[in-house]
Amino acid sequence: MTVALGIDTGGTYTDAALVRERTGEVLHSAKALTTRWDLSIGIGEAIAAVLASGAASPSDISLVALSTTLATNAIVEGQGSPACLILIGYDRDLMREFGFEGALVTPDVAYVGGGHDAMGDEVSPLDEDGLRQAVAARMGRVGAFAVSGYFATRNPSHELRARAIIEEMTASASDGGNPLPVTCGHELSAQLNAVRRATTAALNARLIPLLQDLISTVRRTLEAHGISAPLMVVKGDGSLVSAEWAMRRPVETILSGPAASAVGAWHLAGRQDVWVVDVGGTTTDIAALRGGRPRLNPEGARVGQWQTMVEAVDVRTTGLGGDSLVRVDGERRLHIGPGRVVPLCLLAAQYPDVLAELERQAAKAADEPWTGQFALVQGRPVNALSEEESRLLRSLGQAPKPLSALLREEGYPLVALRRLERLEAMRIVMRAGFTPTDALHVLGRFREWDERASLLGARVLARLAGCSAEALCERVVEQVSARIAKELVAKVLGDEGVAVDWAGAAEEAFFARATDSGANSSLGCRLFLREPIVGIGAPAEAYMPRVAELLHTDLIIPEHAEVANAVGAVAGGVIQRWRVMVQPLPGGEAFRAHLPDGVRDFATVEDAVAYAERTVPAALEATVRQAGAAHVEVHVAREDRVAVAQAGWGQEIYLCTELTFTAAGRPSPAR
Amino acid sequence: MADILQKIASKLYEGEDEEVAELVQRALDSGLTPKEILQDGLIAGMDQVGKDFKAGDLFVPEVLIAARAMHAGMNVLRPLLAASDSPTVGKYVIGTVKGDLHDIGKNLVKMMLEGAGFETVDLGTDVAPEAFVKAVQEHKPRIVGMSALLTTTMVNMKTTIDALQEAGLRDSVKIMVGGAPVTAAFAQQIGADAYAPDAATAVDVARKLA
Repeated sequence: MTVALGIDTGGTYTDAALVRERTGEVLHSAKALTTRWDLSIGIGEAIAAVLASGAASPSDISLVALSTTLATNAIVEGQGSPACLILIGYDRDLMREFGFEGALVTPDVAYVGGGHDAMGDEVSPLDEDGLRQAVAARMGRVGAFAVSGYFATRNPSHELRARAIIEEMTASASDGGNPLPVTCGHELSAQLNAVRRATTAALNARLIPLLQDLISTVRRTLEAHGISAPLMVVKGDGSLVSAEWAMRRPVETILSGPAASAVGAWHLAGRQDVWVVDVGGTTTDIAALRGGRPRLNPEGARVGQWQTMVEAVDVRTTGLGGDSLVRVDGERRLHIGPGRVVPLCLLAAQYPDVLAELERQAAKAADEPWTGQFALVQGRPVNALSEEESRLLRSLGQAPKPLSALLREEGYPLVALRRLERLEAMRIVMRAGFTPTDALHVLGRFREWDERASLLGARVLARLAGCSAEALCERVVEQVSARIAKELVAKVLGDEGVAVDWAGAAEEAFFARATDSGANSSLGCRLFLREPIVGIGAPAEAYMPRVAELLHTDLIIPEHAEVANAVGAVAGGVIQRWRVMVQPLPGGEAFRAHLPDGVRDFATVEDAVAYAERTVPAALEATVRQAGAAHVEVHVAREDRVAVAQAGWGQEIYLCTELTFTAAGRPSPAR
Repeated sequence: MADILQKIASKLYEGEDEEVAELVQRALDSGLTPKEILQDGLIAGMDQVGKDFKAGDLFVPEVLIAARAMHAGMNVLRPLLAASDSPTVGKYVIGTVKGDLHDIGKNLVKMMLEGAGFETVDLGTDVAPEAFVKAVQEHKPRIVGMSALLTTTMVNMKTTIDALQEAGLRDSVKIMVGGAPVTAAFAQQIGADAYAPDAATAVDVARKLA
């Protein structure tokens, strides 16, 4: 029996699934809590749990695939190793004048002479002396280099030469003769925009050491469990690459989790054209599956403040999930999310003492907005804290502390709350409170951990909301479903170029009339989603039936929906794409092919295409094998871009030919 | 009062440059503001020229003569137009693409744009993609207009858009293309924002984009 082990580290849970390779059958799955300060701990627990089932022995496992939030989180939180960005042939004045230097991610930027033009002709030769000086000045101070050349997508020769020089210099300076990693912009995107390619290359360089650490700890964890199968990582487009490849191009793993979810939804539900809604603990992610592949964002993924050129799944993410904090405001309105907390039922399972405190709070009348919430220390400070922050941290101690008591001690509760929020942002402190998961507990639709805490928490909020605990919980579930439906509508319309603002009166009115709450209006309308929804993620069953009802569409919640992401991790293929462009040279007498290793001129378009079709597939196949594939097939798609001139001018105008070479294979089995 | 503005417009239409300059001066002396004279006299006249040119009632030489009259009036007004009530609806960089020396159409569009209140930067003919990039960097226009009169040079419109894209400046401007062999489909193919078949339409399109 050969089995693949899929692992997904989400915002709340780390999932593991054992999937039989030949049939795709899910043998067993398990969940552990994600340990954000060291992802490998949660990964280890999930692996141990799934192996404990005895569904497969470690020696049966022939492939391990990991989808990870590491790159996304690190970018959002500004983590990464010091990296130097070398810009070849960029106009420094222009970069400054238009504020583009703010998009370069790293403060350590060196401008070097060189670069090409739109035809791939050299504008000026690469300033090798300048490059050597820049590199020499940084020896021992940076962990990685990124190189981005002007129009390198039309001619990569300067980037390639610069990489060779940097590798040679850093190798000879290191003890073991190992060069520092060098990221080239043209390898990460074939598109034009020198600024965004530089952003993408710099992000990649900064992530390399982080992903190397993760891979090596995961490998140790696998070894400890007796698993010797090759390790692969999910990219943001849902395809797989070997761990070695991912360590060179970590930026391509951004949005790897949502991509794996979408692939998993396809694998489990067997439907190719659907909307995939992944209801997680922290967020709800919505993506379109078309022809069995997640639809990609042509603009490139935006992560945190950075617009990258990484082709990743076009996902709409909302801070709404099973572990979102539920609050009641002064006007008795419910607010759910975007903050994520520890559900009370889970908190009480780990710290039974909180039950007594919740009893007290549910019994007394004094209500503050943070009644029913707790704070607990979760991580260690990485950066220096202010005096006040340190004091707050000390007063927290080891056990969860009621927020009302904590904030009262500090004198000015709102000031102390801001301080607490800063500690939360640094992931040192975690809040616990009433969540949709707790609401499901009260309604008897979820059984795990300590339901007494959920009920007490519901009573505390119910008093603030002026209703019964059950009514409050029904409202929470209805509101979560309605929010997911609104997000899905916004995603659909957004993909069609319409921005939806749910705060707008008209939008709100139409939505109300499309659902039951608008029944007292003379105007009736109905929302109707043409494609079915596949609901995945642990709490999908609780919310998605109502979402499908609101949108009058079919809902599929496949078996193992709660671990679709881990299943998706092993279901992806290994795919790499190269693009070759042929364009006419001035005068139209000759044609230039922009190839992966440089430019080459031909007498006719067909000669150029024939040359590319002869030489590129073998090189691409070698690359995709390097990325971890076996049974590779290479396809080429050709698009000739021809425009028609005004009538009377007679001829067609040949603009260019774009060849897209796609190599796809299955992950190669165990060595 | 309104009579004199009317007269400026009709003399401009007739292409009487000296008379237009004289009338503008008289209007100023009578207490009309430079802005009123510009809007309701010169631009109003030029708008009529545009309309009739589009309808086929006027031909290129007549438009050029009217534009010359517009300039004569502007020469009187320009020193008096304070920066604050500067009439510009937007900056417009214009040029004929690399390898192409045709300039009549481009000049016509430029004059009509100025007539409509645009501040134009004319890069001339045979303008390399890099020169367009430099001009966008230096002048930060709202719109870039490119002209080509040869099917062999039309492809350089695409190269220029590529160059703006690579520089990271594509999204900071709107791009219009025109010229006898150019079509709307071509404009779309190369990623331009708009196409105009003639100078009068170019003004309408530019107003919408600006």
